[in-house]
Amino acid sequence: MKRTLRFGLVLALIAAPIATSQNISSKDLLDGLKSTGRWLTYSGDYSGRRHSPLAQITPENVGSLRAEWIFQTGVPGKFEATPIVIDGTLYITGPDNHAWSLDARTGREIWHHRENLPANLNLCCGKVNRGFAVSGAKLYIAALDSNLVALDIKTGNVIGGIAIDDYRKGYTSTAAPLVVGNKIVVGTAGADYGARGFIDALDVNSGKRVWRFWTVPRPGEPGGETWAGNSWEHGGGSTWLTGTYDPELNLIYWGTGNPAPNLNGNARKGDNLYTSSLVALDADTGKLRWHYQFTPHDTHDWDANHIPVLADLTIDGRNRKVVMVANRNGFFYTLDRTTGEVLVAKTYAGTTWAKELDSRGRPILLPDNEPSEQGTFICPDMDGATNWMSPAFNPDTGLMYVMAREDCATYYSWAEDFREGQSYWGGNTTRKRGSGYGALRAIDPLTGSVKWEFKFPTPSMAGVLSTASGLLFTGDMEGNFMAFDARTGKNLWHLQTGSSIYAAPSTFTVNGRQFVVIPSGTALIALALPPGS
Amino acid sequence: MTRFSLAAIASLILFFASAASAQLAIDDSPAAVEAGLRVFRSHCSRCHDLNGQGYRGRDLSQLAGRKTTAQLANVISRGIGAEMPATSLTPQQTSRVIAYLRSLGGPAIVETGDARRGENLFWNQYRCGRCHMVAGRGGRLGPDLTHVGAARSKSFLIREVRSPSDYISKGFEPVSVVTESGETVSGVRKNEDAFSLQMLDVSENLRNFLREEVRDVKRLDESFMPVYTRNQLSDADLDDLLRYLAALR
Repeated sequence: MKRTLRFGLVLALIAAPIATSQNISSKDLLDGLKSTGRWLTYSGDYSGRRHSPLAQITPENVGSLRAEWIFQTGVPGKFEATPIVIDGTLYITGPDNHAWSLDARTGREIWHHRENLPANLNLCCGKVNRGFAVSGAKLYIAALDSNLVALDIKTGNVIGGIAIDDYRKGYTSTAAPLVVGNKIVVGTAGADYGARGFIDALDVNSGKRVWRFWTVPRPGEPGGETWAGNSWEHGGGSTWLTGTYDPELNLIYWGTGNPAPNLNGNARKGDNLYTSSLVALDADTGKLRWHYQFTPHDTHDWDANHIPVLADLTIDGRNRKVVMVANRNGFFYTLDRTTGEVLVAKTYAGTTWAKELDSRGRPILLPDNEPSEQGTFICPDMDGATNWMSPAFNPDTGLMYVMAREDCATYYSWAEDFREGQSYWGGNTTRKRGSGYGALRAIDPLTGSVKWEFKFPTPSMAGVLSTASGLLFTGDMEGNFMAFDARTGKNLWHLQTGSSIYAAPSTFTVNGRQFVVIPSGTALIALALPPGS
Repeated sequence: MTRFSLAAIASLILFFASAASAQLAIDDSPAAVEAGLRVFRSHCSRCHDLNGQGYRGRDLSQLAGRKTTAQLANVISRGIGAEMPATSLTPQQTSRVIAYLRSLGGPAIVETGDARRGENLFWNQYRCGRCHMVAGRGGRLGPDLTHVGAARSKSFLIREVRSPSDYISKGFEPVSVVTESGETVSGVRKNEDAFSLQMLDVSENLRNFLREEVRDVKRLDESFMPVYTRNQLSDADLDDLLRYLAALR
């Protein structure tokens, strides 16, 4: 059942300004991490760097880091969210669309909310959610049943909701929305079910859709010629990870996912624009300014659902506004974010499908790179050389920090008919158990070269946090939460949390003390130095 | 909540679970199993691997034989908790998947061979009990085989004997460690992370290493279980061995 437009009905009740610090303006969001007691968007600020100016915890004292509190959610499933933090109060979503508000100083619960979800959701990858967005005194969650729901920040009560699309068609939402001005920008999942992807901007007050950018164009539209026949109708191109925003250029950067069916390219001949791409959209209109397709005609499920990281770099003597992406296909890219021009592209993990790009920025394909009925051994595997886990960028070191995966797979493809609401893969892969490993890698965005790495026995799905003191924090599949020297990659501290870590850390101050928080298993763990240190 | 209402809810759950599967007839013909393989590959193999032996999701090859049709149909349609999603499979697709899953795992059906001779081969001639335990007797370097006949199919057991490195169970991956003093210690990996390794060495000693205390850790590709080719173990001997293993339930 679709939600009806309820934003307007409740608006009158909450329109009056509320004299509270838990009220976030557009300027607050533009200020990003300037206010140390806040973490206001999925990546902390619009740049997607996940780099905090905080420097209380340093390489010298991180060895004294200890648990300040542990909040047990009691909800099983992958805990992938980054909390919103506003001046001592924390808001986080969990698996199965649970959500909580906590006293950030003590970890004690203030309220708990759970979405009522239908039983027959089409989910490729678990009942996950990656976090809230905040605007005014409302929190927004894009729910698994493809509804955008607004909660009262003080009580957790539902105060509005609107259908993004129809979950019965395979649409579902897992990403934290991104508030830009008076719009809430949301993506969607569903390509694994043949759902045609889009990015929506909804009015922050009414919930009414302002624009929609379809990631798969119709015949006759620019890019429509890259889809054979009517394959565009079920062409995928999901947008299930939060993008970034450049206020100066007024452009939104958002990664798009695989074409469908995932592994059977015969069913959709052509480049399949704008799947497995980065798109730059005008924030006011949703019009496409430029696109870059990392993997044309992707037949390996190498989504480009990554955090596009924005920075200003000097390349060949020129100041460049760039966007950086470590891609699932094994290449690291530095693009001009005004034009989409490829400035740097280099492999940062093992690949067998391509080693370099041609002068037009297209990958030069190597032999035996296609899934087949008999199986074809290809690197990277279907989960890719990295995945959705957040990278971090430290402007002082000038390095991108990426959670890399080294694994290969045998790719199979087969013909498969589309049926609405059923998975639409057209193939699958096998991996030899225990064959791969993971590594935290520092990549120079000026050259694409790897400066250092720290290895893990199995590939990790945890994101990375950088701080101005020259620290990195991340987790691994074995349950370790760790701190590293950002310049050398030396491990400085670790805590065995007891469960795999699927989220990215974040940091903020509470009463002047720097906290670092990380979800692990069913718990949210807050760490700090001992008081007075 | 009263005891009565809890019982009533439990009855309702059982009723609906059985009602959902009451119409499910499981056709186990080769054609149905083949059709089930196709449905499984499209809808289940992302998590459970192409052969059902598990990757992100559970190993189903041991599981399906121990669950009723109603239980399997219920899990397939409703999912499990926050991790396994519900599916939109039709009753026929569900029936086909169950037929396929049943074809994967135990109980092993072995109708040829001599179980008593197989037992003798197991314990005395090939000395499998040096590494494998049966009902409290035997070694610990390999998986416990006390109930292997109920858990594994005949084809799985043949593969484990003829090419044991194709599939090495979790907790039995071969690994070697070079200590600071230069000693090489080999064994099966019980657990490992970036900072430590827990191992059962080839002498069955539990060894807990910190990575900072060792020079090197190597994963080995070859299982400690020897490869038994036809030259080393004839088909006739294998038949007897399988008959013995299939009876372990």
